[in-house]
Amino acid sequence: MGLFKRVRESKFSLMMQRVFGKRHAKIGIYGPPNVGKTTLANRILRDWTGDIMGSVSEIPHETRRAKCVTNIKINNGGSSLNMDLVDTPGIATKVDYKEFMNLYGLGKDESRTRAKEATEGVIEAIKWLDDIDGVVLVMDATQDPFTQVNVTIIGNLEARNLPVLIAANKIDAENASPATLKSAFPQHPVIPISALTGYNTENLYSTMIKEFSKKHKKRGSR
Amino acid sequence: MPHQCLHCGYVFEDSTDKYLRGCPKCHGHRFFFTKQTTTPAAPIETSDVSKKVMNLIIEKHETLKNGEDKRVSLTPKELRALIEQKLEASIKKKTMPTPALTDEERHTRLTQHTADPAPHPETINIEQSGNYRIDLKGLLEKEPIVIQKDGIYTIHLPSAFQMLRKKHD
Repeated sequence: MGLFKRVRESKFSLMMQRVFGKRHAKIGIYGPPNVGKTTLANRILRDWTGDIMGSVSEIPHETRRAKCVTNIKINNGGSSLNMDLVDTPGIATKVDYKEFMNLYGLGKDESRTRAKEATEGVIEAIKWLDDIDGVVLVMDATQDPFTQVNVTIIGNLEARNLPVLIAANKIDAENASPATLKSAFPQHPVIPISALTGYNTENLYSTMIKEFSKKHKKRGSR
Repeated sequence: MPHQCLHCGYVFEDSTDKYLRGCPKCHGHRFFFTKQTTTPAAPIETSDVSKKVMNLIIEKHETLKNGEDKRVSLTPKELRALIEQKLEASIKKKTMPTPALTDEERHTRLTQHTADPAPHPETINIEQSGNYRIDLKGLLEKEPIVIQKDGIYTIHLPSAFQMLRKKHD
């Protein structure tokens, strides 16, 4: 291992980061199924590493295992943030295999397997919360934000004292209404974006640096 | 499969090599294989992106519409600027803020989802194979994973012990 690399990964480096207020944060991308979590993760990775996180699909629960990419550095000119990015499966309160069959034409066995894996994915996503330093909560700006999933997740993240940033995705869609999202959760920064086209992602990156560079004392969920 | 001229849509029948001498109609030299030939009137459907780019060019050069000019020169930079301008305008138009909610409305809608659910021991209820109901609040609050199927409860012991440990701490 080269000397430079050793210094960079050493405790000395971590100490310097602490002294100068720079942090290495583990950021989780959370949200209900089909809101564009993986599309956003792909966008972030493409913009900063030239890589991609995973495949996307119009069928809900495409991501059924959490994926983590380490050491992503994002910057907005003046300041920067080193982070590990975790793309999590969609969080839902109900998973029904018939939805995959009737709406998306999947076979019975495939639908059942998908439903089972999606349920396991929800548990996995929740388990990851213990290791996460900040959350980008992705919501669909074309949908009603007052859902049990959104409200429950936000309540729990607040109880854990985790910094939350809401990405109001799909604003390129005809019926998007990020203003409704902003008024629904005024206590958190809401950034309207289109992960698909990359619209307003610079603003998202700046807010991520601002929000996730702060030091927060994490609490348990209870 | 027949060959079809990319430019004028002229169709060559199967197993012909006449196209090697070029299109007899327009003297074009580019052809494509196709199962279903397109009509000569509409030889090739331009893609959506191409249409948008053409519309942008026409918008910028009004004289093209009148038939006064036949050529237009655009640098890639100009083209990109035009597309971005168009995209920004369409997004701004679509994201006009809707009336914001009042505090009272917001509170009412939030409380609909914050009420405590009925006290079931299970965090995952398998109603039938492939149909799952998940107690999100319980899982987020680190309750043990208890799976219920046909009245039989399966308890995930590591999560139960983890909860006990947390309570002791």
